[in-house]
Amino acid sequence: MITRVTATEVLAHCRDTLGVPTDGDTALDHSLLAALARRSAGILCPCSRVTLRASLLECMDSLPTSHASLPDAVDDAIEGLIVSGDLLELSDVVMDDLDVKQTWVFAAPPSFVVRPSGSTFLLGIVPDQDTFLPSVLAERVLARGYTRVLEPQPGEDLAGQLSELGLQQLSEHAWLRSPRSEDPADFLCRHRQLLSREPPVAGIPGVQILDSARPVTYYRGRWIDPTDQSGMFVARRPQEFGAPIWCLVELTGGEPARLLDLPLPQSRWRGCDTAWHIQTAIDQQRGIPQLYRRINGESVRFDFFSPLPQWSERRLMNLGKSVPRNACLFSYVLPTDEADAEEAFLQQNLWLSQDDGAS
Amino acid sequence: MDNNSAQLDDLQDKLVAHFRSLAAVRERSGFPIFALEHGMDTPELMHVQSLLREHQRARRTSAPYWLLWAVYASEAGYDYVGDEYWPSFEKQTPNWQYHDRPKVKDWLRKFQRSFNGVEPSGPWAEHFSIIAWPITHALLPRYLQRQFARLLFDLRFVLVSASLDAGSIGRLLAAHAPRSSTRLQAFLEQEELTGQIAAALLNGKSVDADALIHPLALNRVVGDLERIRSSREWLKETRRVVTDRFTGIGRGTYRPLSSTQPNPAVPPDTSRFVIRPDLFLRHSGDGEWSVLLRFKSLRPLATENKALRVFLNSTRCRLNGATDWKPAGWLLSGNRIGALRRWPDANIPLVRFERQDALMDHLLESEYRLTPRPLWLFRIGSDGIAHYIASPTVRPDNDYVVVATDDVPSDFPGLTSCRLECEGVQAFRVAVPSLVPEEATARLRDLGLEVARTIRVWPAGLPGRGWDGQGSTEWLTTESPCFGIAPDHPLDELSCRLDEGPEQAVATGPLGGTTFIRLPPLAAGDHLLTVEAHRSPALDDVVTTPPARGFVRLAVREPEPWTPGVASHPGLIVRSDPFDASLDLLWRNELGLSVNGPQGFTVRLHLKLHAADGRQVLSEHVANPMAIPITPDVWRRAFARFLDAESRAWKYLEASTCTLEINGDSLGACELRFEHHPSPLRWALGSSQRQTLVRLIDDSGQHDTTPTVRFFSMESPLDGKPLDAESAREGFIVPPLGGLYEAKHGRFEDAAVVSAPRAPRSGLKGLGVTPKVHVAAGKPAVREAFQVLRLWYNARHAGFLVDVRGHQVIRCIIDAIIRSVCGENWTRAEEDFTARPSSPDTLQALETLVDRRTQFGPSLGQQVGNENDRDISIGFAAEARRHHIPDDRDLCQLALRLAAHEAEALADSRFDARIDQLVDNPALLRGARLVSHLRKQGEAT
Repeated sequence: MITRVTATEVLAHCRDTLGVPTDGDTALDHSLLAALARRSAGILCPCSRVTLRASLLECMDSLPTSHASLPDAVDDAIEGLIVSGDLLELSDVVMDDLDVKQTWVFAAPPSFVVRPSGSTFLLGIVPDQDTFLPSVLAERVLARGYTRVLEPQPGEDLAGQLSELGLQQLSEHAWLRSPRSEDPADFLCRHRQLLSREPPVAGIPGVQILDSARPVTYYRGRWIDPTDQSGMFVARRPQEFGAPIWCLVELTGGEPARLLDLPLPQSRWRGCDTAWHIQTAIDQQRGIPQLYRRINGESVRFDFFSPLPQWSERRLMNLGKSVPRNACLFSYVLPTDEADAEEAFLQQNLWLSQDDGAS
Repeated sequence: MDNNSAQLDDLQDKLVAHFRSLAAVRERSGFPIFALEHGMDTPELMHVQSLLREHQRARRTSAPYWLLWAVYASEAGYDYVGDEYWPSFEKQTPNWQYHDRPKVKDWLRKFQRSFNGVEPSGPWAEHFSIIAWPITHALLPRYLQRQFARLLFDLRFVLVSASLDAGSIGRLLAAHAPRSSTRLQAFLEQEELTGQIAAALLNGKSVDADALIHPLALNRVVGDLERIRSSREWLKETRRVVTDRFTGIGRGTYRPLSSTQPNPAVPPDTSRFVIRPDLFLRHSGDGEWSVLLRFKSLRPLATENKALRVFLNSTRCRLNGATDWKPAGWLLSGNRIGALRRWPDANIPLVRFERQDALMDHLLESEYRLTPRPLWLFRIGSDGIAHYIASPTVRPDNDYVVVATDDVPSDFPGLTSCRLECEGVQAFRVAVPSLVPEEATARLRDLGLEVARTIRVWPAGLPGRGWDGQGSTEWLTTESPCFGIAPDHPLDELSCRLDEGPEQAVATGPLGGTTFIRLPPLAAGDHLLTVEAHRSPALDDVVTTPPARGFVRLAVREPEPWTPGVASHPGLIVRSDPFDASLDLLWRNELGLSVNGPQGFTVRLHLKLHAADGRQVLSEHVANPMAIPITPDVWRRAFARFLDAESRAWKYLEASTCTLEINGDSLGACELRFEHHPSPLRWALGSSQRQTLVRLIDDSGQHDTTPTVRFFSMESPLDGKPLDAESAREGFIVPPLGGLYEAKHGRFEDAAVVSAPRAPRSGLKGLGVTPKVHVAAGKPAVREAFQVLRLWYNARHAGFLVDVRGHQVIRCIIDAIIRSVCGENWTRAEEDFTARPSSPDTLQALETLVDRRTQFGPSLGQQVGNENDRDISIGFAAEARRHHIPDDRDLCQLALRLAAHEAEALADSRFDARIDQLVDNPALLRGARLVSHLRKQGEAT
């Protein structure tokens, strides 16, 4: 029997199938979007990020959403799933054709991470099963933004149960792996040398740069078409299909003279992670470091104005939770007793400074 | 009559009455009876066991109490831990002798005939012809319970949509446990039986008289399962998922094996499966496109047919248009993608297998062919993937790649040439504008392309699998697909129709609005949704074109279960060659393991050995974290270092199974399992206080005959000494250095090379061996030497330095054979050449000695260059012909293989029949060895 349904009923059907509870909002919220992205990834992965995006946008066509921009919301959802570990964006992967190495988004295998608080992050995607846990556990899964969390019950060996079910336990160490701490000058010097070894280029169309001269508190506003800049910049250049390619560019009078594509060969980090890392070093070396805002209360809220590499944001996710942003790019709330250590990590590894309100 | 016998008489009578009654009730369902369904509680059972042991201790005849003994044997089967049945049975049963074993089969055979008892079936039951009876009558032995519960849990969503007959369920279980455990596989080979057990376990409430399995027996199995928390949870969850489906299955569904087992020669009905591969293009940069084929898993289809499953699991395949071989089992995993370097030849299937199989050939013909067309149309998505569109219809505002075998028109507006990384075809891109002028429509029609009017239909809400962006998608039987429909012209209503069902009118929204529909869950197979636009005559003034029609093809399939530890996520691609490697092969370091994934990541390889009773005997990392990719060579080097430790060799002797976990952290983990392949006749190895023990296990059930047992020592490896079979069953301490133990009994045989330490304080010299080998001249001696050589090659290896010593033995035997066939002078010349390969004198001597009468040797010396094997073989035969030496192509090839790769020659089925000819024509073997020496020298320089 074919039934005519409304757009709202289509979304309700999605929630029902994907096991996403509603908190009264019937429109497309973060949790439902994340669940749909997981399902889509289960079908399409390994695939490019653009494939995943296109698939989600098509099936959301004409459905009600609370997001101002659906494409932006889809991009955020995919990024959220990558940061949380549901999706793996891997470079230089050899698939079936040994001659072809590409960057792909993979669906992570079902796994979990026990957080310091005892609650457990649930990660991973199974192609034909929207929920891979038994119902007693699946009903307890909390959708928090783009992540899924299981809270242990008193006396319960949750990790043991999940392992028995075939989920892989990821150690906090493995999940939070990050590059070694480095002096920003050395870090920049190393990349500058690598860029200088690249052959000269000319006539590269459509390059956009992250302009270091623009305020560090407005990330989107820092992306510009080069005019007369010279020096090394984080940049993106378009390709016919797929997302623009992250790169380092040496400009001479606004013209690209050398290009170094990111990520670097043999790197386990994504192109964007390396690019954002380099940008924090550039800003620090220019004497205008990137900023965060710390607001103390019952817990500590950190507001950020630029994206953080995945390995950094994941630490915040591990200890705290993402909260709606307020005059910034994104925010996290951390328990008070963890905040100082994380703040030190941000300062040592990403060379961020606390916003004193002057900027 | 003593009190013991009187009690046994009563119990025997009681049990006969019980099983008669059960048989009468069970007759309605036809489901067979298990001896474990004796209906006795634990105290009663213990009493019976105690009485029977007393009876046996007094050496009284068992015949009057055959039924009690059948139950006794089955209870031992229930406690069977998966290694050996008899040791624990004999320990608990006084005065039990080896020759008593057939009685167990007699008792249970009588039980089967008297009460319609279950009869063991399948290859395992054929091989283990006695112990198969009590273990089968144990219903679900303890050691299999956890694995069985886990399998049901993994398959819970598939079971929901499985056919309800026991055979289908059993086949489903068998098909999805190919690698978990050979013992579980053997159990699952009894598909009818396991299907019935699964049905009973999942039905759960078997308390009525019509129950498939006696309530006490079922409760006991369930109780034991529920004692382990994980099994309890798995069973509970699986029951929850399948409850509605399985309620009521208990009655009248059993059919004898013969009627439910599909005929293996008949191709499965493919209409319920979605297996046709997808052809698509991927933009590889700079305007170039690669041509790819994506294959769906054939596992659901293989579930239906065991022969097909075995074939796919063991046969490599090659794509039509590619040159590389895909590993065996490649098509049993989903979403496999292969690149085509040449456009597929439409006259042959898209996949070709290394060997032929009638059933597979049928499938290839029906599902794996590229339809011959003048052109193929691919719609380009925003991600640079172009999906193949079956109907040559383009839609406005879309981009396409058109692939044609003929030349591409160059003067067509909106058409640009593009390159394919694939030979044999031309390609061009077509950008269809949002408004297609009449003239362009006509030109497109000239090309063979129609322009569609737009009534857009797409999967709404839940993304559809395999959506090509235009009208083809895939769903699961468990899903209700939703679609959005948006016509670009005003309509009154839509009519929708699913397959041949009735048309259903669906009111539409305003122009530009979207109408959504939802379909019910659909049966597996192909379905067609037709959407037709209707409008009132009043709208004819507004729109002049006729109303449009849209189609969506839905391929519906059953969900694939998720199996933990299997690398279905290609972030970590683990390949093992052979796919079903045994523990022995792994320990001989002959496994070809490769791990691919993203650069910059490492994996940890963790190996665990378990004894037959589940005890862990070793748990160690093979090496430090290893960088991806790991090639087979890298793996073998790392594993060789791991094996190079005496303590691990001792642990291996105790092991029954091995798991190798390849853990890439966030990339996932994959677990490979290796077992000693269980054979009814096998050497069991063990160690105690640094002494190596070997014992013959004979479960072949051939008690009328005696196995032949021989021992070949490391020092005299061709000299087989007969051993007493009875002593072999009791076990020996392996003498210093060890040797090869061979046992044959009827159609079963087993051989194991066991290496034992030399006497203490024998120093470094004691590590190796110095075999004394002599092969007499003449065909019989050479034939026998080759047979023993084959034994040394194929035997399982165990013990410290066994590979080194085994290799030394094999080399000595080969040298002795060569000395016998080619002569002493030749052997010396070979030694001289090996010692001084660059000396012209040693080469000349070797060439001359190939055949003193002719110039065969010098001619061969001039021939050897950089040719491949095939060229060498052709050249060799030609030279032989020229010098009037037998030039039989097969014989020449065999001589060359024997000289270069003796293991391959020994494995050749034609080899034994050709040995005499080789002995008669030593010049051929000498010539082949000359070629081999020269090629090795060439490679070295």
